[in-house]
Amino acid sequence: MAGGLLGWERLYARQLCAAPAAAPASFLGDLVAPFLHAPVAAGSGLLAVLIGLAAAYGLYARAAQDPLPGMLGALGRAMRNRFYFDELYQATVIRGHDFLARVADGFDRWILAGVAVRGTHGTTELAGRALRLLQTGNLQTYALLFALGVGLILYLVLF
Amino acid sequence: MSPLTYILGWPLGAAIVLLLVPRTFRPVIRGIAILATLMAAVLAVKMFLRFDAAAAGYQFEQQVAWVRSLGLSYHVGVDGINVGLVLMGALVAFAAACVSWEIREREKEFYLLLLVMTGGILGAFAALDLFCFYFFHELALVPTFIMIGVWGRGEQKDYATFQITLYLSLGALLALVGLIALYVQAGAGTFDIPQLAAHLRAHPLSPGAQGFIFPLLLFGFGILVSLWPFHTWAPPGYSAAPSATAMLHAGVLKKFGLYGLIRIALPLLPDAARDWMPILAWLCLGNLFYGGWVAMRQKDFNRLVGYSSVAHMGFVFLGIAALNLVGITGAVLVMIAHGFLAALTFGLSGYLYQQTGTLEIARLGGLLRRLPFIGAALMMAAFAGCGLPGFANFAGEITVFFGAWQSYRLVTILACWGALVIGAVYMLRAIRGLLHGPLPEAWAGVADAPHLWRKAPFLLLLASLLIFGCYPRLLTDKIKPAVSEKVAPALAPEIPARPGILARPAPDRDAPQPPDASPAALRRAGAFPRNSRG
Repeated sequence: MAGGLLGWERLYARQLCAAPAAAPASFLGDLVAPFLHAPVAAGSGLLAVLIGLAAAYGLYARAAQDPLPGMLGALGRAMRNRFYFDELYQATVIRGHDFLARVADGFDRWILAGVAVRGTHGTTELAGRALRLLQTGNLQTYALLFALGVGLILYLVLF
Repeated sequence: MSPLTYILGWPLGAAIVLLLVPRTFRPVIRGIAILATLMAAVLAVKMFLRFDAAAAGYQFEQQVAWVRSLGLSYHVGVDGINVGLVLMGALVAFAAACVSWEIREREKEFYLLLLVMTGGILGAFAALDLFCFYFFHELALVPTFIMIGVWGRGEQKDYATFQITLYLSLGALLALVGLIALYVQAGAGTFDIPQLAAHLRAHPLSPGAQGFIFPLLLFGFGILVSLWPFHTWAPPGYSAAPSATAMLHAGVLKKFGLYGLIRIALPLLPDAARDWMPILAWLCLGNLFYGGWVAMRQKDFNRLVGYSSVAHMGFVFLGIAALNLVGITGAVLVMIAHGFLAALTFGLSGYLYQQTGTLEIARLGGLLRRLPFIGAALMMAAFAGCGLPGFANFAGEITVFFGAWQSYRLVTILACWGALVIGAVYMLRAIRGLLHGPLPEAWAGVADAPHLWRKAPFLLLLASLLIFGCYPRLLTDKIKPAVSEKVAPALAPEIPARPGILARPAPDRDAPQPPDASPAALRRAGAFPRNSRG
């Protein structure tokens, strides 16, 4: 209701529709518009609010203690425990996501950050260290490698 | 001279002035940095308010030829897509300079790099020349590496610096190759983005050329934005970075890749964009779900926020992948909202670290008693991160979902789940662990932000989130015409209005039904001719 009064509808309507929404007639027009547009949905929503308010007033206006548990028995206990929705949510959605979070975290830690990133880092560093062994500054070693290279090329070209 | 030149000129000019200030003049150094970023922020606010959403084209333009033979020029200007980004960048930069009181060593070098980074960021978002666009980004990126390496924290600081440098350099290199290929293939002899766009509308690139260049830009820019699975640099990088650097990078500079996709890749390579967007739509689920799940397992709050930032980028990718007006408008809105949010969260976590010396959630707790202002601001940031109505993130995310629904219904349903459930789980658990429960004795001495000056940067960012959250039309009225005009070649055909959904007039049941606008249906109708590659 507050959203309707604040005009959220108009706020987002222009982003959703090619044509701009019609300008509101008035504050009263805003209030009545949902009932003209979708009378069943708006009417049943308002009816639910009114029934709830009336029932709550009837039950609790003069009650010293909560009368519902005595009147409803098991249903009352279930209502007091919010129909065990929190427990159900914890056992299914949260537990499921916790499991998937463990799997994703393991993959991120060991496969992506571990093998892929650190592996690339390690391989590059290892290659650098290995090549450094060849960069001795010793002319004889360079000459030997040069001769070996020439030999290899000659072999590939001639044979 | 354009106000944009002043906006990016103030921080860069102040950086030059700082070179001349002796390093012992600490209050002067800090004062110059705060004044320069404040001036940039004030000018950005003024420009944002003066921006005419109804006018077509770019505003506050300035172009100065540089190398005529190559078509290089200093060209800046704003339209609805980048005017909000420049505003957000300038406000975040001011907040970042304000929270940098924690820096006690080599202050002159720190503030100098901070100012260069700020100038680079604002320049990258204001640039309308491909060369300037890339140059300013690099100008902002290099100080990021140095700041993390020198002023960073934690045992893994060096490794984080190494990783973020390699990753982002690789992303920037791929994007550079793509941009050069675009310049060469276009054959227009100019780096000027509006001229290139006009030229390519008249003479589109061949499908083969588009198919080669687009993935380079998509993955190049994607790496810069931490597109899954190229995201592993972000959490350790932000965890190790000083607060101001994390605020500026996660909040603003990270959006450069997204901005590049919207400004360059989509309008200039529209055929390839349509081919690649379904892949991007599925990859964004990697950001949303994978980023969210890994965030749930984090023990360090900054790493958690880092993974949360990876997850939030999924919304933007989804909005872009939708390739329609609503989706891309939402994507730009999320970019701006996340900029404020990431800056706020990293700023607050920096305050916590400064007070406690740790961000390990298990070692903290009950801090709301000692830090009522910081704790309340952190809680509001967490709610904004969960997408609570009233904050700009909600406005952006819901717009993205509305846009994506037209193109990828299954992906949108999954993304809603990832956004609402997983995001709420890790954020609310973190808030419970940090702020509620018993207060360990070790933290009995921590102190809240003592006066308005310390609170100001957080209040500024929080107010921005609330203003754009309660009245997103301040942004969407500017973004939407610009997206409609600039990104038009890539957009899916507009879906006719459905008055029954939200608008006031009652639906006309005899009127013809709007066509199915799913990508498959559009392809069947021949709206997206599938180009043969090669």
